[in-house]
Amino acid sequence: MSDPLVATLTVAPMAEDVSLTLILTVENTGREQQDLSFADGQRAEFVAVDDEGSEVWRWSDGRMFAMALGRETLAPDESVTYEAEWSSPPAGEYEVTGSLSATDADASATMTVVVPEQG
Amino acid sequence: MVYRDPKTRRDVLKAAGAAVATTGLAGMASATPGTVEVNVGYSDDSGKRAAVAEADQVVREFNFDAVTVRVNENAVAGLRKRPDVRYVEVNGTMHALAQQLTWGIDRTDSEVAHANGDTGAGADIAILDTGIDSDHPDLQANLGAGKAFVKSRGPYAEAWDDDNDHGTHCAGIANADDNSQGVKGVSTEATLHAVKVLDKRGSGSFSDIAAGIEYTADQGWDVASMSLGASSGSQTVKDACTYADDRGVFLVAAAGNSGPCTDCVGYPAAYSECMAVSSSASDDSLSGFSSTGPEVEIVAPGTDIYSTVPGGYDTFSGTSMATPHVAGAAGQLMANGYTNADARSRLKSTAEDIGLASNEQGSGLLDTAAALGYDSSDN
Repeated sequence: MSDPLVATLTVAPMAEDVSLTLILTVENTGREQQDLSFADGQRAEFVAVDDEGSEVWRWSDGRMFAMALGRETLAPDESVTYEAEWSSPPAGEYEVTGSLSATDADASATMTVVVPEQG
Repeated sequence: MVYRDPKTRRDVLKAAGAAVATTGLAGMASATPGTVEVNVGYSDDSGKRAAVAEADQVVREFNFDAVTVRVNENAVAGLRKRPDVRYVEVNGTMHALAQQLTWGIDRTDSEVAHANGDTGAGADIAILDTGIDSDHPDLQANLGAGKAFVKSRGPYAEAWDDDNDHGTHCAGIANADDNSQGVKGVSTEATLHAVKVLDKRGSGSFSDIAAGIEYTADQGWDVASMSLGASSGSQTVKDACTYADDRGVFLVAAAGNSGPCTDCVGYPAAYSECMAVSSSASDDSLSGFSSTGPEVEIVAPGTDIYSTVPGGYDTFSGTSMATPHVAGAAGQLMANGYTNADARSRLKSTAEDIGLASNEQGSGLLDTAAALGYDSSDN
């Protein structure tokens, strides 16, 4: 049986600001409800790796989280989105991965992001 | 009016409805268990006869088409379904749901302190979190000033209103009002300050959290309750903790939810300026999710804790829930003139050994009554 959780990642550049908004969407494509458990307030992680394979940015670096257990439920065909902002990314080409931080389910998506040189 | 997003609102209503269904019926005056007094409006005499047939006692027959009867509560649904019955309503004043003594308050003997008149009045407790519901009936009397370093998302009454639930839950554990409803806190009359450093999703930047700690110190408040953490540290947050500690703030923080694990206390709990709190369950076992390590100084209730959320009450688990138990007790001590350092050592020296390893329980389980000098041998 295929994994019912399907993740997609999109990126929206912000016009005025030199930052990127990453949006991870996780959809339950299965026929049964999916319960997602979380150990704390972190629901998703976002990581950017450069063309040499080095990690250059991780969303959770520089953040702290509420320390209560959490649970979210996805009905069939229901989806949930998580956003992360990458401020002032250096110019370059990156593989960016967004992944669900649930303790009992996996879902992740990767895309290539090109950050142009600033004029 | 406080805005709530539909999902949160619906969940809260569901939880509140369940509470009414269970404690509401139990709390009603009744001659025998399961008997309720109801007013039945009918549209035909057959409806009246059905109500009277079910009745243990007919209390009143009105000149208009209604009777007041005492019936078994199981009969209510059947009467409501009848086409010749217009309504069945519970008679009498709708009592506010009785205040519950939560297991965390009971186990830490905080109610013993209350019975001796200790309420934390005069202490200022800052909840560095997702905000606090500004119109919760179990918190409102205790709310002081608030400050938002991350503004709540939505048309809320206050920028520091809680758009998550987490902060309101922690606030209630520390210092919910001792009134006729809901719950009461470890302290009950201290002043709660919402310092909103976590966003709607429950996360916050190092900079915003450091600013919240600095702000708490600059206000001269007594306690900073930090139900938050990360597995890696921040020099800025550490510096803010030093700043606040030097200015007399009692800093308490959640050990983290990385358990089961050893030597895994998160930050800021692992900083020497902070009292790191691990979490216990009602059977005095260590909560399975609780981080442990040499930095843990005290353990407090954190599994299945019932407390306030915007619009109602809910049950959460986490070292987040253990932390405000300690914050409320520290508020009690500082209301009585203890410094932050004295309060910290007093809480440790009076904690109850519950037989866990020292990296799990630190000095032991929080004992509010013993910290305040009262006999807590009843447990």
